[in-house]
Amino acid sequence: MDETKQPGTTKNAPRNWLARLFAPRLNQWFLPRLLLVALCAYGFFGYVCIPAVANGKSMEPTYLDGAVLFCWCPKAWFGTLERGDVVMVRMAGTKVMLLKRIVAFAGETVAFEQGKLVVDGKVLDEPYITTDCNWDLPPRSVPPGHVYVVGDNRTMPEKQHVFGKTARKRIVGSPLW
Amino acid sequence: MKKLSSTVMVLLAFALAGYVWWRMRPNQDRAIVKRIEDLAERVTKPTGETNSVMALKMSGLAGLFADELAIDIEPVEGFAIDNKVGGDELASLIAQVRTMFSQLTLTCHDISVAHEVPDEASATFTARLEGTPKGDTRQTETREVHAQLRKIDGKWRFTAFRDEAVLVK
Repeated sequence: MDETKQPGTTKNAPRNWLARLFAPRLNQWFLPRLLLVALCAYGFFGYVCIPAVANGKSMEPTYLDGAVLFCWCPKAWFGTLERGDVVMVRMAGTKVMLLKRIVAFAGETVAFEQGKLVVDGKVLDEPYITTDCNWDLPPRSVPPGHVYVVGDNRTMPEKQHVFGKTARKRIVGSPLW
Repeated sequence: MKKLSSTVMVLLAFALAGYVWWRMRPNQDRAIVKRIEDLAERVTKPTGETNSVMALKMSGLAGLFADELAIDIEPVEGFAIDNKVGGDELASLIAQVRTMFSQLTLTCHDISVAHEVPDEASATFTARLEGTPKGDTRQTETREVHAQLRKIDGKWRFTAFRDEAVLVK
C-alpha cells in the first residue's frame, strides 16, 4: 500500500519475496501470520510429513542407524501401498514407529526357506537384500486387513529380528526417501 | 483494516489462552500420565547412580502398584515374570533387574488414558527400554503396553500390565 504512495523512496520501495519471507515487516499482521505459520507447521509436520530418526539396524543397508527420515502419511491414507514399499508402523502412537518393508498382502502365504522369502510358493526377488541369511519359517497366511513386513537386514538370527504381520491400519506412511 | 486485525489478534489470544488452560488444567488423566512418568523415572538408572539415589527411587516404587498385579508380558530373553505378582514382589524384581545393568533407561511415549468405570482407568503407551547389561553390549526393547490402574486411598495404582504384539511372525 505505502509503496505505491511514495514511489522512489528506498524505505518504502517494493521488496522481493525473499526479503519479505525472511525479514517481514513488524506490522499489525505479523503476529496472526506467525501463528498461522506455526499452526500449519504443527499440522504438516505432526500429521502429514512426520520427521523421524532411524534407531537400529534392522533396515540396513537401505536405512542406516541414525538416518533422518520424513514419514509421508498420504501414502497410507490413499491406499497406494505396494509390495516392496518401506513403511512406518505405529505402536501406541507416532512418536515411536517401526521401519519395515511390505513383502505380502492379505490372503497371501509367507515363508522363509533357507533364507529365501517365499510368497505364495514363489521365491520373491529382493534386490534390496545384499547379504545372505539362513532363516527358516514355516508358511503362514496373512489375514484380512493385515500386511506382512520384514526388515532388510537379515544378518542376525531370525529370533532377534522383529518382523511379521501387522494390521493395515497401523501403517502411518512411507519415508520420503 | 486495523480494527479487523485487532479483532483477529484478540480472538487468537483467547483461543491460545483457552488451549493452554485446557492442556494445563489438573485432571485425572494428567495424574495418570504423571504416574506412568514416575514409574519410568524410578526404573531408569543413569550411569554412576549412587546408592542413596537408588534407595530413594526404590523406596517409593512399591507404592505405585496395587497389592496384587496381573502381568501378561511376553518374556524378554533371560527374564520371565509370573502372571500374578504382589506389588512389593514386582518392586523388588525391578530393583534386582536394575542391579544387573550398568545403565537402564525406560521412556514412555504416546500415553493415552481412558476411563471405563469410576476410579478405574486404562492407559496405553509405547515403552522403550534401553540398557547396557554389565559386561555386555547395549540392548533395546520396545513394546506397546496397556496398563490398568485403580484409585486406591486417593492415589492411582497400577493393577495390571499387558503388552500387545505389533508384529506377529
